Amino acid sequence: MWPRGRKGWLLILLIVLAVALTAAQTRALNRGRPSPLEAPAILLLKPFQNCVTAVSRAWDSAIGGTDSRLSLAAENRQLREQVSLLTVKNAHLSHIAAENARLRAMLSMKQHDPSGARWIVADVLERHPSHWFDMLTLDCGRSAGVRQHSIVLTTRGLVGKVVVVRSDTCDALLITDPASDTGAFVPRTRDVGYVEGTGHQEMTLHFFDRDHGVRVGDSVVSSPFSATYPSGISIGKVTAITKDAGASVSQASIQPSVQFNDLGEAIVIP
Amino acid sequence: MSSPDFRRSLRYSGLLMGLVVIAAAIQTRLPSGLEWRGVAPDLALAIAIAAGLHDGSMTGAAMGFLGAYLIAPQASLSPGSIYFSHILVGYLSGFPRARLYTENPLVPVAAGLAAGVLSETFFYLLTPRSPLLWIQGAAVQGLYLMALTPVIHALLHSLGRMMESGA
Repeated sequence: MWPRGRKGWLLILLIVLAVALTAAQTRALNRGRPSPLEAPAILLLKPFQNCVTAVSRAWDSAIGGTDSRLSLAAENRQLREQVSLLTVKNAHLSHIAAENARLRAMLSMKQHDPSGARWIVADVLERHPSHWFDMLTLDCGRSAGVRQHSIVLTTRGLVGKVVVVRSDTCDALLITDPASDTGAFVPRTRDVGYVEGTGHQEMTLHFFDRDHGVRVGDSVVSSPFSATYPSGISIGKVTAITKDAGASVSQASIQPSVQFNDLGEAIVIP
Repeated sequence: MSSPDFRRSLRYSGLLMGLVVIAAAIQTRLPSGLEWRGVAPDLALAIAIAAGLHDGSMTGAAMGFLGAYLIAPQASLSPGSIYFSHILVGYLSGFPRARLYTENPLVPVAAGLAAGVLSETFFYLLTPRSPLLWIQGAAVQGLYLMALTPVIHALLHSLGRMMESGA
């Protein structure tokens, strides 16, 4: 397939291209914008991604319908098809009702926001394709006023912050990512510290004061001293405390308030 | 290179690239749906490995590059690691082709496992993070690629034969 004697040069060319693309993307990332060299890749993938999404939705819908039919056939064979249809419709309505409830909760949160900041409700487009970074892509970008370091949250609690902004989408780094440090506050004891991601669905709370009174079950919110996040946003609950006699500080395991795996929408505060 | 050979080669390359694009679209749109133990299979890498095994190092490296180019914009914090792990693993996958009898189905199985571990190791060396993430990623990605590579390799083999008989 490749011309003989030129394979070495082709490999070098690929590596040079990779270096150039990496440099362009890293430089663009530091400015919080996508690299223009990424545009062809995004354009090329988009129609295929839309097909994948459509097939996935059709599959989910078919599986839901089949399950319903099987369970109802045992009760009444003659009404199977009708019940199946109603079940599918009902599932669709339940999805809409759940979405409505979540959006209402977001609206209520917005009405109680004392700062009066503008909020953007965005759909989660995708989770990051690598397990090395906990990130997700949202369907709002520069055109909606999103900026680098904009805050992302849900009605349940803090999600993370925006690290890359494109014209119509943005990438948010989750608080569960190891690169994420979040100032934390335990309202019951007024202890402060910072929460660090572990790359898994749990985080570690490092206390500034060794003699804290935090217990399992205490809720943890964003710190009033945080320069990044607004104070008082729920981060999670304490599930375990490490009391290491040799260490100068102790730690706690935190279960996040937000279920990141089934996140459908999120609020972005520009 | 004769004209029918060149056309066949072009058609085959187009098909390979199409496969990489589809794999990248699935990988970037459904990562949580494909996840097991927090790790999603790297489908584009599986195609690069199978292409390397079937068609040689340069094809593996080129498909690795294409897959990385498509995935890197969605992986904004680690583009370099993605490029280099995909290109190098795709390139190295061509080595067994030159040294082993690749009709043996165990070769793609072993190559997939080794390539999964190798790509996660490259990634870990280029983007140092928790060793636990690396061990988990290497183990799970190795298993994924061990299962996927023979299937894709067999598909490429059939495609190659179909094109030869059709030409």
